[in-house]
Amino acid sequence: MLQFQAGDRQAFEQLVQQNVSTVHALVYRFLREPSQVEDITQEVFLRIFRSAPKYQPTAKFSTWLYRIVANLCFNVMRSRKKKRAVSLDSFGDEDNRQLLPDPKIPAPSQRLAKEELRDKVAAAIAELPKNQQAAIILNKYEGKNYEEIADVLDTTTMAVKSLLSRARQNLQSRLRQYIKHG
Amino acid sequence: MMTSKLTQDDYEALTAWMDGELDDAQAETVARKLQSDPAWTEAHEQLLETDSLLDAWDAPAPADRDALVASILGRARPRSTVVRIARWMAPLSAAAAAIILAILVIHGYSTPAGPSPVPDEFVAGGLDVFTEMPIADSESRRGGSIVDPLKPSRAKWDALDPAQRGRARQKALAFLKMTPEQQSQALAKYQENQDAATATQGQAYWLKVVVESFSPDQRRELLNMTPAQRAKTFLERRKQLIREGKLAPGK
Repeated sequence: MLQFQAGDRQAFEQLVQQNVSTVHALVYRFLREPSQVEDITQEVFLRIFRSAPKYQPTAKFSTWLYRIVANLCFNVMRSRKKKRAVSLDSFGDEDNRQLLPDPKIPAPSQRLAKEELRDKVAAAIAELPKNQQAAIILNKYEGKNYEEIADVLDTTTMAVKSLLSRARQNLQSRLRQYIKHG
Repeated sequence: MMTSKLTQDDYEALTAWMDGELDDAQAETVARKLQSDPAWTEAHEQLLETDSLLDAWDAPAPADRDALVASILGRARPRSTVVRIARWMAPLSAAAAAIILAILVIHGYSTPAGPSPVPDEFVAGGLDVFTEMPIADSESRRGGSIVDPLKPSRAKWDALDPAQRGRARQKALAFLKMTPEQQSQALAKYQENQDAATATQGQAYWLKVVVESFSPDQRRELLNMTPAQRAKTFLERRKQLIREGKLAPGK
């Protein structure tokens, strides 16, 4: 990043090559909408490009990168929520339909298809409050520790500890039907 | 063996322990609870199971990674002047922003009639940013309001109906989203069309004055002439009107 900031255009290309898959996966986990994932992934790198002159290496580059991803995705989630709020028939919404049990589908069993479980997990995470969602995504799927998550979300490690604990309890409750010890 | 229901603090300690985020003393306390309290053991097992369920959610790779990278690199370039001006205007008041937005779009609704109409209303707006902003800037330096020189366009903006304003805003946004190359091309095309429209408009004006200077009988005679004779007559009358001060030379 510092090389790019100094005017090395090749360094930006390298930065994109190194991080594009990570950013794509992260955006996918936040938004789950394939049609938006590539657009937002591009927007993340364009923000980095434009913000380069103002970049200060006070935090790790990855923290800065994750913060940009989280902020952009939160914006999209907020605008989705607004659109949903004005809809008179929110139960016709694709996302909500996914979260409601379909009476035609047999009760889940131990042999639940992996794809179906994947959808249920994704839906359960999407239902979490946005900070819990971000914390669990960064912790579980990006392997970030509490301090790094606190930097990305601009909060304290104590708050992250609480967010992650509540997120796991909420997920446990939403996925109870798939837990043997539940 | 003691059994207790876990509190929120207990859950936080347990999850932090699972994440390796406790110091040695706190970790030791949790480890003891897990050995001695079945409620803790059960909670731990459930959290472990929940965690393993989360593994089922894999994120797909980009459909075409190379194309995505190419697209990012293609779009990553410094902002154009128009975009930088638009960004610079962002902190202005809503009123100033509305007026500037009017300037960005207004000429699309007052395009002169002619064979080369401006094809895209907002393209005109882009040019106006360049032409109007230096005026606004100099006014501002003289201590005047940046908004003052832009006020004439406000009246035109106010005269638009909501649908026209909506279309204007969409076009303004579309222009701002263009790449700098696309913006340059659009502006060049606008300039070309604007020049043609201005020329046509000037010609239409002197022809109108010349035609009106003929009597009804003379006009009937003109209809019987060949195109070459008619053109010659028109040009001679034009010269005459200029000599008499009834038509400006530039028109």
